Amino acid sequence: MTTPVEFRDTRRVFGATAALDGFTLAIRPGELLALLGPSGCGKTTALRLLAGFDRPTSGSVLVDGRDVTAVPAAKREMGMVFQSYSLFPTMSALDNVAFGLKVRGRGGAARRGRAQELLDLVGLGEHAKKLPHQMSGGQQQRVALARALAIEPRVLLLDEPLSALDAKVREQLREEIRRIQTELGVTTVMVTHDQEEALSMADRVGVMRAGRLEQCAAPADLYQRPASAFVAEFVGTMNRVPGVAEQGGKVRVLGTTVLAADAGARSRADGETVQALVRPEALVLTADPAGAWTVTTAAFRGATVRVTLSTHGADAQRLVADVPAHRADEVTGGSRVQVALMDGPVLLAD
Amino acid sequence: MTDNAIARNRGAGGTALRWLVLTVAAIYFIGPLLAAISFTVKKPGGGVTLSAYRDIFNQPGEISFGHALIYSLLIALATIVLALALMVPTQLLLHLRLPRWRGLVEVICLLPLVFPPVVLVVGVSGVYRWAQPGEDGQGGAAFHLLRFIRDSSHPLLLPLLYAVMTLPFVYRAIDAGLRSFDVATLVEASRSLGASWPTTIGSVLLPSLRTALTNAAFLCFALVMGEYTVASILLYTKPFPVWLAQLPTTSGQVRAAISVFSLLLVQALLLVVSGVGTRGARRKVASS
Repeated sequence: MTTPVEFRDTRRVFGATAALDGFTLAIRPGELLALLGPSGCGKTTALRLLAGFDRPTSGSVLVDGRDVTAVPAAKREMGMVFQSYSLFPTMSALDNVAFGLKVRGRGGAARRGRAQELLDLVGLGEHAKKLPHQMSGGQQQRVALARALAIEPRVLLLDEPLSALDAKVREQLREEIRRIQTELGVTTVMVTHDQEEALSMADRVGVMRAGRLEQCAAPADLYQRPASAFVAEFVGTMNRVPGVAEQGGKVRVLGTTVLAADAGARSRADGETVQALVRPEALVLTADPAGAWTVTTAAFRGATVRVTLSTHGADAQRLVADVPAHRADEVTGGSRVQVALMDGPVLLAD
Repeated sequence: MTDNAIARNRGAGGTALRWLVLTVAAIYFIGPLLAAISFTVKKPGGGVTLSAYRDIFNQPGEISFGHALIYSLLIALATIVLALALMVPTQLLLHLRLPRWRGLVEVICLLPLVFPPVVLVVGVSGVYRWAQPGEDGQGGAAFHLLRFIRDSSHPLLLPLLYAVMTLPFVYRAIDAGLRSFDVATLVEASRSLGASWPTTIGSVLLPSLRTALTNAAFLCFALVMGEYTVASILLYTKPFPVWLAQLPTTSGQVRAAISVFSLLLVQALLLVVSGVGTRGARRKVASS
């Protein structure tokens, strides 16, 4: 089976800035891949190169094994959903969805029938005659999704599709997009800066930094086995805890000796000061009036309580930890605790 | 006094002020028109007559009221087509591909506001002097082309000049229209669905610009129907404003009747054009 989308050493330079720099990525058939990263990391540039709205400075973009670098957007057969909905303002919902089919010369009845089917699929069958300004943001984005799917695209492109919507609608639409994408089996590339969105929707997430792909993996792998300190700190919450390197690639952190996850740890000198990267849920808190750490804040989050801890003195430190909700009484604001590290490898910061 | 009572008082004050402004504006705009209408129907010995309006169509001379009006309407139509054909592609190019040039083009388009129409005519006269035939009386290609453009039976010269004069208004109207939606994203959405550039412009952008284009057309129309200086200096006698100024009649009542009649006629035409545009948009939605 051919790879639906492939970036090969793609580079895009704007003036003196390389928005994409040696970007290489292969997307599997039928998967939803999310490109995640901070602003300016090149994720939107990658999507625009794939859509055909821009051309790479060097390297190539392949779709179904064919080099489409020089193919214009109108001939790429990509369905795209934009952040700002971008429905055609003078056309009804039905006409918007049918537009791509009309361009392809499909007859009036067949076109309208297919457009109606897609509006039904996104739950807007009864809103076919409405103009974009007569619909809510969520409804408009559903119509935009139906419009993109109407042309049976080779690849569906989602450019921050939920960022203009309020939290509740965003959550609903997140599930709906995933359901429809799975149902139709269409290969999808989504660009987002919202890690919760990427981790909950995508089969794989590509984390980007300064025009390069840092890591591309399944959400759980990305969270549990980040390939770099940047990925570890960008995905989820991460504490930087001072520790001391020991022999055999081990490190002593918060009084516990654990293995260091990165390969370079063995080359660290015995006794060298290091910064270990520790997830909030990897910290174990024990209530102790003589403990070195004080609970600063405790925020209830359903199954867990997120606790902020700090030490006093000249070298005051700060940590974030997650405690099971049933132990919430032990970690109220101002209480003293001891902090230990769960056994398991930790990543070291650069 | 309670907060509600204060708010009510303020509301009443605001409403009274709005009505006052509306009344003053109405008197300012409608008052002279009513006075003119009253003057045109007044009988010398007392009573009311429509004879001044009947006389509009019985004016002596080669050019009748109808001819002059149609002549100006055609010039207005040609001006609208020319101005839009020039500015719509230019504005699309500026918004989509050359945003850095917007400032320069805007300055150029505003120049007709800075220079009075007479300056434009002086420039045109210079061009005609330059292309005058030599001593043998045989002009070159430029002379023949300019003479053809100048010919009063198909006065291309006036729409060409009026298109320049309307640039500031057309530029502003279309620019405001294009700024009211995200042109670049709409184009990208259309292109990604497989639409060619002509389809994108014809099916997506122009319908979205309907109001802006109508506004631009109205402004062109209003300018042409009232333009006297350029047409008069260039010795055109058929345009409506020139015909009106050169009427042989000495009757003030007839002159006023022609002004009132033409004003109401133009307003009616504008309403018809506006109504056609709105109905077209409604029909499109209803048929979907």
